[in-house]
Amino acid sequence: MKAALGVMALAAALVLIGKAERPETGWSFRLPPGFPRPRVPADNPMSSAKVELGRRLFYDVRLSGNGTQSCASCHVQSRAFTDGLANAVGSTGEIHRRSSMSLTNIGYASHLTWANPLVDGLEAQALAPMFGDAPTELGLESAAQLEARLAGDKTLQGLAQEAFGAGGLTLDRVLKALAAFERTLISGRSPYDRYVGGEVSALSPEAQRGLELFFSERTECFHCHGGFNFTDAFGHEGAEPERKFHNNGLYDLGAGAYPKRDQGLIEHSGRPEDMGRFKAPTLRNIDVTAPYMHDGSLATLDAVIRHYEAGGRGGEANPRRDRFIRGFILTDEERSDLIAFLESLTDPEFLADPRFGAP
Amino acid sequence: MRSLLLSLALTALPACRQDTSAASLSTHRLRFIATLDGAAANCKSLAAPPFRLRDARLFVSELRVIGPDGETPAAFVPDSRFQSVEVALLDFEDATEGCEGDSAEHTELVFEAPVSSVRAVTFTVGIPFALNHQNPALARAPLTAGAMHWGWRGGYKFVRIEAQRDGVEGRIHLGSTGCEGALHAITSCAHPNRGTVHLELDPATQQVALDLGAFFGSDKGGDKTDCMGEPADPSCHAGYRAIGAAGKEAARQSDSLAANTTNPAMGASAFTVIRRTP
Ligand code: HEC
Ligand code: HEC
Repeated sequence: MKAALGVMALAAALVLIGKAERPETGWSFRLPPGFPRPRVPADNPMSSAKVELGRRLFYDVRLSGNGTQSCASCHVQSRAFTDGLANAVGSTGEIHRRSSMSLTNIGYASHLTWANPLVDGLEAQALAPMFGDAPTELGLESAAQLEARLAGDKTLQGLAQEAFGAGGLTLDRVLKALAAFERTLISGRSPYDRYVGGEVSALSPEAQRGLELFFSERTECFHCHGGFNFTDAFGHEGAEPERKFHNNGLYDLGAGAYPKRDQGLIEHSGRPEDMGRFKAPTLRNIDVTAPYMHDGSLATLDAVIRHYEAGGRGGEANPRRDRFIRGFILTDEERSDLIAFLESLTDPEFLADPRFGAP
Repeated sequence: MRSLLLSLALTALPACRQDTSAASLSTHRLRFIATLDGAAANCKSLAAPPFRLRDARLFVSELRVIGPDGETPAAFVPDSRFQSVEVALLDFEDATEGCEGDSAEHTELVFEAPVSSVRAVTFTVGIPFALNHQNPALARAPLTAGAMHWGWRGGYKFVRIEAQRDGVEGRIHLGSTGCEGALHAITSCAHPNRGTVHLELDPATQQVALDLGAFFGSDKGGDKTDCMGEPADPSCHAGYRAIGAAGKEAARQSDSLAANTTNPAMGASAFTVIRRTP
């Protein structure tokens, strides 16, 4: 009963924030019921040609210096655009200190990557894997190098002409097209969504009990993984995003310290209270994105839940963990209920939709 | 067109004792040479242990020269690749041997100033705030997207010196840190980290030696040197001393840097004047 109420409140909230989709010539997001419209920058309006161009670029290995990798090498559709690795591996073999992130509903993200408060847009974000060297991901040397490679591709140049007009396929247009494609990666047709839409049988009794646990004060999960996208790091048209980060107690090497190789938000701010603060990722399609956390250090959902049950690694003694990481006790049955609920957030249509697949 | 840009740039700069009319502008060339332990150095000469060069590039800006009649701002002569009026990229790597960039190098600053001869120069190692945080996909050379852009910090690496020393990889990336705002709309940076270099020299007979070793300091610990620009990170201390930013930073904040700086008031340790080789 309490669960049903919770779901109704959630559904009502969705209706409130869900805005009728604005007609945009030749373009429709085909939003799932109740989903708000992603924010689209004024200088990068959506169009079918641009999205198609972005999709092709997303899968194009010419975006890497040595021609071995594309965005899709680390962001694989069937894994909700992650790669199944604890640490991403770049085109030159360099190992990333972090795990590749899901691109599920990425157009709704308030800020991007695990712990960087500056990355506010998909256009700017794409520069990092292309040109970044700490570590090398795609390993491009210069804009001119990429533009020269793509100059002879009639299909891409034709799409660029259609999407942007004359002027060829410049780096700026590559970034805009990639971002437009990424904004279409919308997932909202999971069993959970059908349940919220009124199809009660879409969730098993286990998953329904798990839902109740998830939205309870006992587990506190919803504080950081709340809202229609199961993360508090979201924004959409009509809702200015807040850039939030939390310490979920993943490490406590004394006084709440995280390993030197990755300490989260503090690397940007220098503020001690930002030690170990990371973005709370979306939990949609979470069942297919193992291993978990910024460093892939938890292998299974079972391990994740046990982590939260223990109140994080340092437990109560950890001075840096968020106040909603308090620890709790679950029976084995409750734990598998919670997992069943998390599994119900998987949207098989999204994972196989040819619009998001390789051209 | 070019001289129009130049005179605009010059007149826009603060008033100085010099007459800035375009008529008295003359072109000067300031040559740089990379060195290690006092010997000329490049990717080919530093291709084997103990010091294997991987990269050596840095941005300079805010050039001022002292001529016979006093100090005046100077403007770089734009080319399509390494220099705009305000910013120049010095590039000492040619992608041979262990180096990773591309083949073109740029080791000479070409600038115009209303002086007949140069007695001293002052420049910034780094990029002015107003240019440093733009969208590199829309920027003009030398600030186009690429290896010198710092994607996750929302600015450029002012300095990128990388080498393998005694088998250990080292990266020295210097630039503004602690910035706030958004990647291409940074509003302020807690640590600007720009260096100032002042050199008394006559570019006609002398040149600037850039000591690559100065960026790494003497601590050849087993750990790799990975300076990602944080002035408080010990692996960055030598680098900021090398470009003349350490004293400033020590004065700005009370971190351990001052203690580690042998001479906080000193200039840029990597830059010295030597005789110009033909
Ligand atoms: C070598 C593997 C790799 C490649 C190639 C790669 N990524 Fe990523 N991606 C990652 C990792 C790792 C992260 C997390 C980075 C961090 O937090 O520092 C990430 C994060 C992201 C994010 C942020 C997601 C979020 O939830 O905040 C986006 C968006 C993204 N990548 C898009 C792209 C695009 C577009 C490309 C191609 C231009 C690309 N990636 C290429 C590994 C990769
Ligand atoms: C205080 C905020 C907070 C609470 C409460 C919280 N989380 Fe998280 N969660 C996070 C953050 C932050 C991360 C990423 C941490 C990291 O990578 O270091 C995360 C990561 C995860 C991940 C891994 C995501 C991925 O893509 O790797 C899962 C799964 C998860 N949380 C599930 C839960 C569940 C289930 C609960 C309730 C038992 C919960 N969380 C409670 C903040 C929170």
